[in-house]
Amino acid sequence: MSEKLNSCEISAQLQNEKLSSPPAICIRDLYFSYQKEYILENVNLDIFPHKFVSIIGPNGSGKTTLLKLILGLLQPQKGSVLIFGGKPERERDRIGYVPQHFQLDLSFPATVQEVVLMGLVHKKQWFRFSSHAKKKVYEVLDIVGLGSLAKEMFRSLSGGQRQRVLIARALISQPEILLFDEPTAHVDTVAEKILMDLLKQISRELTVILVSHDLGFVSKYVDTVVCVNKTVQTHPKNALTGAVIQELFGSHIELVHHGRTQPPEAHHHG
Amino acid sequence: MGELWKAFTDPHFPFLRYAFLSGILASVSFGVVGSYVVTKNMVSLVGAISHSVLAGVGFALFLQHRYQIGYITPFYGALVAGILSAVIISIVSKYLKGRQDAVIGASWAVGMAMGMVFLAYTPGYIDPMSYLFGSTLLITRTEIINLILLDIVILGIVLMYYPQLWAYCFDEEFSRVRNVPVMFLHTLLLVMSAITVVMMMPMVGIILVLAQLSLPVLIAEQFVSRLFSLMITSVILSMFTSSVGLMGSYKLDLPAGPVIVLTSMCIYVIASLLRVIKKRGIRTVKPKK
Repeated sequence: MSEKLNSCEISAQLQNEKLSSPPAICIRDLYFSYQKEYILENVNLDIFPHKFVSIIGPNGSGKTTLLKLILGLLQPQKGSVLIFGGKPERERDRIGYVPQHFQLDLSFPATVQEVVLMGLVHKKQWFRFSSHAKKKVYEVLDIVGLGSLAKEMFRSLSGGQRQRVLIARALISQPEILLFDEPTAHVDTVAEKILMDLLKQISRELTVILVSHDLGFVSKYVDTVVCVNKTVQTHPKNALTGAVIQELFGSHIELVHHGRTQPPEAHHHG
Repeated sequence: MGELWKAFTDPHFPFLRYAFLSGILASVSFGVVGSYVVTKNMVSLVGAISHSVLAGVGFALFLQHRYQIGYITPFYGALVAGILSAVIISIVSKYLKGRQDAVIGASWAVGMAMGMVFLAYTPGYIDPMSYLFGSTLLITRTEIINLILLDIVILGIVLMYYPQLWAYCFDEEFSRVRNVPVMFLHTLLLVMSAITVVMMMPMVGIILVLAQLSLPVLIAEQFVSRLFSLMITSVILSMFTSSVGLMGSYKLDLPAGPVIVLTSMCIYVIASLLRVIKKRGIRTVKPKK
């Protein structure tokens, strides 16, 4: 384990010129399989604080598995996952998790306010929530722009709004890393834009990691793209070319850059 | 009505009073646990537990009659079997990969089969009908005391773990990430269901208990939309239907269990119809504006 820690430290030192803090997530020589065949092989990954990272890959590439390993819901067969240098299970207080909203049972009787309060439930939680906690609900709902809907039923909201409520639920425990599983799945394009702008805004203060099979918005919003297909490759967003995508998804995809067309390096030298 | 009151207050005829009391007491746990079971969609798991309870009843009767061990009553046998099968089903439902539905489905019958085998070995003839469909004659003073104790246990557990159970029922994965002990809560909920099933067993029987667990919650869901109010309303509805059903069964000289369940069903159908009519009403009003 100490060796792994060391390699994380070295990697932190290498990045020191750009960032002074150690990696928020450090994965070393990770192997994982559900049955015989490895789903993830020789994965090495560093994600530094205050980065906006997208983990992309085709279906069955192991990106959700990677997410679950980071959350400590699965244990690797070989290698290690460290969150701020500690085991994921121990550092869960520092992670906020936003699952896919359509997986939830909408017949469950809960208001928006109650769903957000669930983000504060932990092992030793007594019956009532403090008034401070209830005040905090409104704070985080304001961040996601839903302060006025606190008393509404969760089931009565639209898909995009529900997703934002789940973001508020993850934010209320003041995490340092925010993990999203397909945040824009089952959400229309208008709501998708609202969501991504919100994530961009949040990423100024937190490390935001999202898992997605959707490449559409990747180059527009995130700082780093992590491509998963059994193993992992990290690319700064401007290095994401058609060839890389083709290798990853096994088919030709034309990459359309939105917004800035010039890579920042070229801009700098120019 | 006068005749019913006379029977109710007759000092030599405590059965009706006990039956009435046991319905009220069991309803407390029924509404509370039923709300969790229905919102978490685990009624079929509880079905498997309730049917397995017969194994415990059979075993207790077998010990009582063959070896004259008087203190092992069918109630205690049912309680132990219920809790055991709750733990087993909890493990199966979490760790068995694939064909879970079939295994749990089969366990409905396996518990009953075991119970029937024990009953067959028991000397003399014992009619399983009263355990399967309930018999108010089974309710004694001891049973009432047991119900009070079990109510306290259930309410105590729910008070202790209310937020955790609530968050777990809504989103299991998120709760795990929040370090909420999900597996423990899953087992706890099934054990609580097992206890409540046994509490209502003398009244409505092993087979009918499932309807009385879910119907009051299904009725309440049409009127309230918060978990806490769902529990309170379900408790009141469960008390109401078991009392009305009991009175009806006495009047009509029918077994109490089926009448109670049918009372609940009638209220559910009426409530659903009212809701549909209300919705339709709104729909036809809107275009006029």
